[in-house]
Amino acid sequence: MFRLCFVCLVFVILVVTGLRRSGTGWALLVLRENERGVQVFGVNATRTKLTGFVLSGFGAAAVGCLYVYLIRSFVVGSFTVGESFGVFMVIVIGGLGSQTGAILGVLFARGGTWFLPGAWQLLSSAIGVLFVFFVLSGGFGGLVFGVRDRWLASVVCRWGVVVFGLGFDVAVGADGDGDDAVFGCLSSPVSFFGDRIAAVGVVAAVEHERLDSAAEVRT
Amino acid sequence: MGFSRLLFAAGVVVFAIVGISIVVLTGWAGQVSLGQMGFVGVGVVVGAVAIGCWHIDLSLALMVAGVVGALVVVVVGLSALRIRGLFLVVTTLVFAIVSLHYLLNPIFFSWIPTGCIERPPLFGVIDLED
Repeated sequence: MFRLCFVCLVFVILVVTGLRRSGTGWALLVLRENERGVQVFGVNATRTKLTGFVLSGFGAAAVGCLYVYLIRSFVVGSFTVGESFGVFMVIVIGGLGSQTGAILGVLFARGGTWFLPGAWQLLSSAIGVLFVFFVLSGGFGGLVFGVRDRWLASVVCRWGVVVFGLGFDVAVGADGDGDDAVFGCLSSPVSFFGDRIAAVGVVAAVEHERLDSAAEVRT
Repeated sequence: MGFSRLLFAAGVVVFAIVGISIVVLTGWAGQVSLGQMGFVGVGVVVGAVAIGCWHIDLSLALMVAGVVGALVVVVVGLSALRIRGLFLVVTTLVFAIVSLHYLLNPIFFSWIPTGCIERPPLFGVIDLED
């Protein structure tokens, strides 16, 4: 039975990852950033929101069906509104906006349920939410991605290439002189579009002959 | 791993998938929905009817439940499409409260099956009893 659930989870992750990379995923993401601005690019806001509703609703209801298959009966009150808040809180802890964050958040909350005695269970999710709000905006998912990005940025600096995807700094490589120019120009609050435009602006500004020949631009 | 532990782990996986559905709607599209469990409840009821009463296969039941859930979400969210502000938050929350306590309650609606539902083998071939 667990294998079926696990297969379903893997399937959902694959589908959602594919969605993220598709045009629909792009439309959903930019809709959040700038609803008005994205309509200039021909994205129909209403249709995109409806797409988001449909996908989310399909997933949630399908998983409810899976749940009833698992539990083998319909128990009224097995879901409460409190659980609705609870799952939302869990996603916030994990970092709103990534599947990794969702899974980490769920593991954190359920791990709390598993290990802690009854009265303490609420504490884990409550403390988790406060921790995210005051210390770790972006949640555990953000933490994981931050660590990954810092490691990647260090690799990039060492190899001397320009990589637009990294939100922390843009490293411009040097030629044999050994000069290193590191531009710390991008930071995480910059929006999806702003990210790309800012990066292009930085590379365009670096009109130095030496650096020009050595810089390798990769998107 | 004992059976109850397996059930717990499977419950965690189910929870994770609900979480991913919230990520798609709220994390990506920015449409805050506080009542996701209401839609899961809709899926639970449709699944119970489909598997328990109509005895259709799980894969088909998942599709049917998913389609019904998608329709419900669209209806709930339709009014919030054009109005700015926290309308969707309130609408989904209200839907969750109403559905979980009233609309999907067998006490009020007797067509909702209660009692044990047998598990037909998946695709008619793979048996999942353990």
